[in-house]
Amino acid sequence: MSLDKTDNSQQNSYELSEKIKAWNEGSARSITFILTEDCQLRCKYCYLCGKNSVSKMTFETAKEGIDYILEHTEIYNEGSVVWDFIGGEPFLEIELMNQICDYIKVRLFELNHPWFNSYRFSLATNGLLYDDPRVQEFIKKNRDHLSIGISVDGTPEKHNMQRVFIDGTGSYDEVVKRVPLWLEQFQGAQTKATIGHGDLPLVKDSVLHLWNLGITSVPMNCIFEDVWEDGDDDIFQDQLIQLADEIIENDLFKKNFNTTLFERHIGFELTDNNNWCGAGKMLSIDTRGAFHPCTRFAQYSLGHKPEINNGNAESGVDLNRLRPFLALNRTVQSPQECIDCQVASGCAWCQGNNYECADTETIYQRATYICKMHKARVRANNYLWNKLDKLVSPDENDDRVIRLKLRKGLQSLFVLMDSDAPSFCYYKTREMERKVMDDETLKKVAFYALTENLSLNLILGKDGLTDAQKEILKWNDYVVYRSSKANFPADDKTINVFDFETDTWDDSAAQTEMFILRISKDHLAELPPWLEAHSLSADRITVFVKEMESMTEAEFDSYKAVLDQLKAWLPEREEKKPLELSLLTDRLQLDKPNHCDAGVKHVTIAPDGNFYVCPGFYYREKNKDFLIADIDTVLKTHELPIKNKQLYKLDHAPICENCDAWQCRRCVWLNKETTLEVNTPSRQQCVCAHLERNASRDLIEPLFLTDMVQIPEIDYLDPFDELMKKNKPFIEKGGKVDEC
Amino acid sequence: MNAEKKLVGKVTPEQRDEIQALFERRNSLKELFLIIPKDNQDLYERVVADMAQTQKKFDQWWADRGAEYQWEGKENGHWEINFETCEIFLNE
Repeated sequence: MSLDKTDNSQQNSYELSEKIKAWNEGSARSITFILTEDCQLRCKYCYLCGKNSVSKMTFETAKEGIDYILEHTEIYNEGSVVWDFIGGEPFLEIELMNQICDYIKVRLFELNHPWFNSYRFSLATNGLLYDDPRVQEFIKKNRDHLSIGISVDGTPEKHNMQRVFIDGTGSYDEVVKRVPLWLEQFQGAQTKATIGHGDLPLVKDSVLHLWNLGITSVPMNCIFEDVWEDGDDDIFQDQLIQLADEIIENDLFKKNFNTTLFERHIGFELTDNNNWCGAGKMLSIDTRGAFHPCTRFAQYSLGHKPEINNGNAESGVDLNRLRPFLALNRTVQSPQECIDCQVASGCAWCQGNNYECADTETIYQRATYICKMHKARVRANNYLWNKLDKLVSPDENDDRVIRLKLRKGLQSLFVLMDSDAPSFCYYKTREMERKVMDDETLKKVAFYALTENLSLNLILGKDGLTDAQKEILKWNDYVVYRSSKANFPADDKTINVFDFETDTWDDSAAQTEMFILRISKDHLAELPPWLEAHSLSADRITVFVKEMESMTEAEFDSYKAVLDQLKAWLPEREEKKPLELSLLTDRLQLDKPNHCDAGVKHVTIAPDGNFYVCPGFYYREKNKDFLIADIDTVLKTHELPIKNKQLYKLDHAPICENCDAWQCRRCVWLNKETTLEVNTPSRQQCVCAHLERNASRDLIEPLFLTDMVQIPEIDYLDPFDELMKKNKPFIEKGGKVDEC
Repeated sequence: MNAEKKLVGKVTPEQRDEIQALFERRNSLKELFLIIPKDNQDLYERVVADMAQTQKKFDQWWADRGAEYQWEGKENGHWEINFETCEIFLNE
């Protein structure tokens, strides 16, 4: 029995989600030798602006650097090392590279250096000299420690557009004819493809082309420089969406194909404060022997900024010059927009490019030219992963599934399919000419939801959902709100809406385990006996009291009496079958507010193709403040321009922000109807919520929840009164502030 | 999954690190051996001695772990380790 090799043959149906990893990523010291500043190519996007055929490293220079590094184990103390070779084109100096590698191997052994047991040689090449006998001999000698990437940009058209010889001709044919030998020698080898402005329309075909060449791992990224024009993000998104469809339609996600354009972790809020770039943790030695925090800080790759070097083998490393790099974190170099960004994960930057673009000679100013391209990539990733998750159903411990649950901000869309659909909430509908959402609009809604990670809540009218509509929505997650009159069967994705005054309780309504009951304040006295008779099949009933906004003080007493009756009945009902009754049990189960959060966590799209804050505002006659934008504008701008959107947040609702009637829906539509402000509830909404809160409190003992739930006793029903008590000294002074 | 490979066990991350270091050292010695200058007899002897010693430690690790975990074996078969997962496979 013996060990021959590592095994990496395990595959599953989600190969595409596997991150492309570098060897000993994160734990290996990277040391780069700039062997030459010369190259046979003049790639149009290349950041090396100072290419020349003069500057070349000598063996003596390399040897001094190696000796310094190996002698200073107190500085270079990582467990592993990657010796990296760069140019220009590193194979132009193959004999020097060969000599350096031999020297490293001998010295590591002679010094009994820990890196002898953990080192790699790595280089990226344009491939033109790959079959040179000297290169082949070098590969043979170092096969077990060598990683070589040949840069192929994609299709002949894309590659030849960017990767050109000095005379301007494309290099595709000369490079690609050497690819089979490379892939034979380095199974699983990866290329490094780059996207610039001009070749954006070729991205999809290029990834597929590289995969067809047998290059299955394709790291590919947009350049960081200031090249992106208006509309480039839309082209990029479109290319990636097309690629996503190809991946799904041809099952490519099961076939060991990979590209960094699609990664499951991207597009979420960042919680860590790490620097993206590893500059400073690396060491780059230029042709003269000067040390740099990364190759990008050598003079030949900087346009008008002076190089940053941090010593050399003779004077030693200048640790003071490394301090800014090692102290650098994400937020200190980022503009506020990036710090607050909800889709920041996976957004990259290059410290050298930041330095080059900065207003002063600093690495502490992040260039953000790539922002819109990152956001386009995020939308396409959302599109792909949401579709794939429908096919593969990742488990609840999947990192993306967890991140989706934890994210803040917009999470769902209410889709009002038919203007005749009944209200499922407090809002009132209005007589208007019937309008039904057309299939073209629904397609746009479905697409928008996939690209923005939004689940859908479909509010159906009497026609239910057609087969064509179901087909449009087949990739989306959705639940259905429908009345028993709707032509749509009850299933586990259905929430039945039952109107006490206008609907008839029939089998269809009774089938759903969860239903919404809308009942007029005038019929509240009938609620307890009705529930006793009709709720046995239900697990949850959400009650909305219609015309609650016009309740009188006497009607508050009646409401309290109804709640008392329900309070007495609920423990009996619990013995037969547990029931969630929103008015009484929600508060017992909550540890934070469960507000509606229209305008924050969800918005509505109506049959007219416009977004509104909530369905209630679609039916409102004066609704211009609450009409957000039409679907075409939103798809084009990628923004939902909610006017005064901060007013929908709890921290902008002074009466509500400290209230603990957490079951209250804090209906912004009711607020606007009654107080003319979306952030200010009426007395009726507050008193009813507190009557429910207090009734819930009385249920703690009967439901044996004393160890789990604590609701303090309070002596008020309207938090507005409490707020006024705090403001009393100010009010009594007639609203005038004391003079200093 | 390769039909000829069968998962037969797993080692601890520490045990994985031991065999990975020996695996890497064996490869490093092999490649160093190819470039020893003809006139450097001292280096030649040190490398050859190290190769023998490393191979011995390497074989001993598999013998010790095989005894410890009682992995399934096979005539003409050999065990392999996945360094990422610490899993041991039986391979023909």
